[in-house]
Amino acid sequence: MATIYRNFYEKIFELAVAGSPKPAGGYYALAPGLILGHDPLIALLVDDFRELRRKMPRGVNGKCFFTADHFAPPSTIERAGILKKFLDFSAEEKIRTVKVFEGICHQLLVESPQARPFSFIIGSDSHTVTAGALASVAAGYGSMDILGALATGAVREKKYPVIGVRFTGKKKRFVTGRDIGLEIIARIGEGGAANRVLEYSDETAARIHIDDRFSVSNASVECGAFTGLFRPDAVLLEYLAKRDNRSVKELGRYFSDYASDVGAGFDSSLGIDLSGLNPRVALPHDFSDIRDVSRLRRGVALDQVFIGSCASGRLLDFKYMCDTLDALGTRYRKTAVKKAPRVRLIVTPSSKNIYLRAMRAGYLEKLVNFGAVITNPSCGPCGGIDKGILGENEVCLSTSTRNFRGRMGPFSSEIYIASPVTAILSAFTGKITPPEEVFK
Amino acid sequence: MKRSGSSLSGRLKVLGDNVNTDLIHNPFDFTIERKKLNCELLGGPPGKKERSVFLAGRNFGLGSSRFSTVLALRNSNLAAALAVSFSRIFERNLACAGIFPVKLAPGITGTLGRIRENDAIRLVFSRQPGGSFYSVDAGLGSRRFPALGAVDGYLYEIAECGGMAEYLAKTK
Repeated sequence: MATIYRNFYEKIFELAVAGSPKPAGGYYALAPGLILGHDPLIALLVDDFRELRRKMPRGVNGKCFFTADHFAPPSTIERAGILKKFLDFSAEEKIRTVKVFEGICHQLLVESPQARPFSFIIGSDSHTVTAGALASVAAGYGSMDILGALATGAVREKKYPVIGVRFTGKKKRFVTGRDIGLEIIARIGEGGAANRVLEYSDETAARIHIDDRFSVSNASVECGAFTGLFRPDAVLLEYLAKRDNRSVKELGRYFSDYASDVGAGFDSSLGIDLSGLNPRVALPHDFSDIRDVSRLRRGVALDQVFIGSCASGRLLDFKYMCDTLDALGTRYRKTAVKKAPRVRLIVTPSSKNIYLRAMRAGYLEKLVNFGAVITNPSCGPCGGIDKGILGENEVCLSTSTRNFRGRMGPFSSEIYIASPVTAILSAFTGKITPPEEVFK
Repeated sequence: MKRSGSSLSGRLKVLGDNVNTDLIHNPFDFTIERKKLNCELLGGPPGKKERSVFLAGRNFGLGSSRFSTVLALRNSNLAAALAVSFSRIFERNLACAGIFPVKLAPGITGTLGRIRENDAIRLVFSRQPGGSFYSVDAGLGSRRFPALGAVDGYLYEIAECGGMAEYLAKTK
């Protein structure tokens, strides 16, 4: 009998299969190791759950990782009611982890030791794929699939073909994970990885920082991918050792059990040489037009710059922003540079932990002096929730997840998506500006 | 909608490629008060008796996982969505709201000829051996289109029940 070589995704998938290893109608029952839920989309399933008159199977409430991050804090009476419904349900069902106003669910998840590598994670939000950077199969579902998981302990899912994505080369210092994510969407296309898995392999000498990897995995869903997972390596090992207070040696033994088999292949593959990558920008109102920022028509004037969401707003993004401010200071021989007066600059750390660390590192003070408003960790204007909604015909440069028409304001408003470096530099000039102009 | 056994009929609403969830139901209109949800693409609040069927292009429903989007479609009398391809979460969400997601057969759109908004369409579903999918035949006026597309078997079962909540109640 021929040996079956399995890639990394296939190994995790097999671990998650609950019950019969043979699919019924093409579907396997998969038992998630963790169920991520957030305030509005859990509140949406509460009545259905009650009507089922079922108890969660034993242990399921212990797998739940719930966060109040969308309406955080609520800005209307209706949203306060939604939050209350979510919190009441979480209390009644004895949900193990409920984090209120501590940050964006996807960031809180990857900061938690509950999010284990090599596990199957599901969530009530499309950007659950972010946790793929932890070498996990992490996928988003709608509220009713989450209802099914809460009621039965499993979801039914297909096994998808895998596209192997190999990163090589040394990226420029002003190129970030958001640029890499945009490059992946540009190369694969919107929906180009529909019903596929993206398995990332970091073969760069410098290794991609874990915060940049979260941003890359986050972007996978815009290609339509089921999940976008990084292969486990030394970067992840060090991150987890620090996060979980465990020794690298101990975790290393655990890692070796899960490596892709030598000889395992992919259904298709793609190579990305990061040395040739320049800062990228997605034009309104989708991801069909992504180009180098330097190739954008000159002088796109901005009303607002937003840096945050689950696509960015991590500690490394704060470093990118402040390094950019330092470079501006050097170039213009000023000790403190200021943003363009007309531009509103909103910066949102993606978690409480990042907020505190950015404060201790002096990043927040530098950004506030530059002219930024620092908001509490939450989803904010991404998804048109609050704390930075656009007006008629306004233009925003955002580092957030999506640039769809009407997502952050009226249909006449426009959203460009770029990296924190491009964003902070553009807040300085008042128009979309390529980082190459400062980092020469 | 006229519905008997494994068929349904409605009026066509034609959409293009990459129609995302924010366009279908704006995030500003999110609510958990389900009766308030409706879709402006389908004429807003329900009231008309006839059901609608979307005919969409590639990557239909990309974007958010918000279940409110498909509840808005259900409230606005959408019975089925035909598309060249669906975004994965949206396709599941449609079925979970009792709306049939039909993937068009490769190359079929080139044979449909002139399609007008509000054309009447009838869809007939046939379970295929093994149950992994249901094939869909269509009638557009006097024209017949056998094997227009297919619905995934599991998603068909959910939609046929009226949605995931009903499916779970039935499969206790």
